[in-house]
Amino acid sequence: MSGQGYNQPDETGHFGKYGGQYVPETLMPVLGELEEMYKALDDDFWQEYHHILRQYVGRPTPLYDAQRWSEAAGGARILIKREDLNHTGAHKINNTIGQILLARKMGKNRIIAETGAGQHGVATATVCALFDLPCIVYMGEEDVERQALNVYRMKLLGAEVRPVGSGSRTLKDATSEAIRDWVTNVHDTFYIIGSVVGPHPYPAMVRDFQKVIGEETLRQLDEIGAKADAVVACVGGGSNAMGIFYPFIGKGARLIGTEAAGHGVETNQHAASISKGKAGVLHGSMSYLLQDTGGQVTLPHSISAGLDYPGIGPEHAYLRDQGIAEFVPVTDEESLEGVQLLSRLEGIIPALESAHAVYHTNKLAAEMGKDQTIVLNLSGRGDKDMNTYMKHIKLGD
Amino acid sequence: MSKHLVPYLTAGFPKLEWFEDLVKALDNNGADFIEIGVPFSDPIADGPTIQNSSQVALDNGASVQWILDEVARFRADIRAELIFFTYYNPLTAIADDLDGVAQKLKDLGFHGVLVPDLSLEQAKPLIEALQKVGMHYIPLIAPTTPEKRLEFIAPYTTSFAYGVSVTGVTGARAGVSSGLDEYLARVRRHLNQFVVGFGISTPEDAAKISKVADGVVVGSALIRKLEGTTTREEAVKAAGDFIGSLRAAIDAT
Repeated sequence: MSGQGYNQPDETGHFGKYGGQYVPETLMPVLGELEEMYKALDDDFWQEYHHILRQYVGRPTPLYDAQRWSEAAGGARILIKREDLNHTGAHKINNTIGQILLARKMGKNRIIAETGAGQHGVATATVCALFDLPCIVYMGEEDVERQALNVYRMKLLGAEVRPVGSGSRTLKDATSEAIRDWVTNVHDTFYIIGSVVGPHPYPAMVRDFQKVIGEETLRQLDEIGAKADAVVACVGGGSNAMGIFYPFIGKGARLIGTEAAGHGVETNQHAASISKGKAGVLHGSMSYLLQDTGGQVTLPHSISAGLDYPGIGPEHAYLRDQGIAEFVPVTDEESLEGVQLLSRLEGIIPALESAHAVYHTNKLAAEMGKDQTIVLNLSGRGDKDMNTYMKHIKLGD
Repeated sequence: MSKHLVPYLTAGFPKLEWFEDLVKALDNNGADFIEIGVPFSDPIADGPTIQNSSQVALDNGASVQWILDEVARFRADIRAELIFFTYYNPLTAIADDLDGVAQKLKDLGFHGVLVPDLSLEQAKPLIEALQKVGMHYIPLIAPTTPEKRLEFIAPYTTSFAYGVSVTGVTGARAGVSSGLDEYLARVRRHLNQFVVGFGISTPEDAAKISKVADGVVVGSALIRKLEGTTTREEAVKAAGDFIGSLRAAIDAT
């Protein structure tokens, strides 16, 4: 439980009207089993989880004081939570460690996952190598092309990557295909979902495997005698944002998620589910969803494969409706500005997803006072995006 | 009593203009219930055949509103009961709330509603709305459903339940799965009326299933008969002949 009486989801797996279990009957027994197992996790489990995060992942990650950037922005002090320094290069591995430990407890010996940018796929392939379990990753054909480096990494780690050519050819249809595999092989297969999405208990469970980000940040702020006035994170499904927001609920900081606005929310080419979507059901839960008036899911667009998804985690939808968190759109072009800004000012090349949050942080810092503090959750590093950067960011000789 | 034959048709596949004639072909050749399939962009419970028919139907323009308008036009000519088969998201697009959804479907003469991505726990508000207007919710049962859940599902089965024959997605398979008898015997201990679907593709399969269940659902196999048909006459004949052959096999057992 987080601060000030916030206690979500309820016992039926709902965050207000969001969340729930919108799944085929075949999956209901295993979701019940998973929930029971998850609720009964004991100290031994969490000790092992934290031990692996320290020893193998390299936690705690630094809370870096970005002085040059703060000065250049000309307002608030900017602190960067360096999730890009985790083993495998993003926050995703916090969650895959937790889920693979659960899979082993449940006696499942085959692992499946979906991936967009490939960071969750790599993080899953990594823990499967570590625990010697077979790993199948579903990935949209378009993402296989634009994230070729991560495809190779997954294969090098021993995973099988199955390209998905249906529908959007991106994260949405990769997720549908992973669910179909799960429905078919549920007796021996554990589905490691990569974000705070899917049927209950996944959104709460993934949040709890990511909340280490926010808990560490609070401790680190304490150590330097600082207090956050705003916390900024990018949101696709929303796992890095949920991971840092959750422990900050009720602590007085503005919680701001940046959504992918693609070519702009005024066009029909974006992935801004909260800004432009309405409540609907996709992939096991109810949340904000990009859809047409007939209830068909519409194709999102984002330059960043990790944010290119028509939905958002149900807890974010709830936090938004309650006024606990706010969400702002950031375009493809603005995110590329964010990439260059952080690279030049701090020597840190961010992932495209994280660059959405970088852009907004820069803007926000300028509007805030020098006595105020922003924490930016830098969810991943940019190595995987070099092809995209080379294509879109023209540098002089 | 004769066993139910329950064909599933993706509305708007292969052509929008053939929908009415295809439903009538099913009706004229022995269907007792017809599942009117609403195509959805993300059919997570369906295999490649119905994924494809859904995408084709959507590309053809088969919106949920179009389907309702079509059914309104020809409902009076159909003897079979109609089941509205839809994923949850397009269902909610029919009206502002679930009471409105139920009323609209009732007015169009639908017998029941089946939603493959709705757990029974999550379905309670919809079931209430359907009961208010005297319609039926068709619960799903899977091979993974334990005895205790069958007890939970039984009281919600006011018409019949739909037993999924295999742990998996929809699709025609070579032969129905082994271990089915034991599973269906377990279902029989708790439910008076249930039909079985998923993977039934031949008259032999249908005959075998109709011995142990109260009816047979056929979906992907019917859609495959329609794939590649180029004229209305050809499609109507393919559908009619196939359903007629299943009817004969079921009635001969």
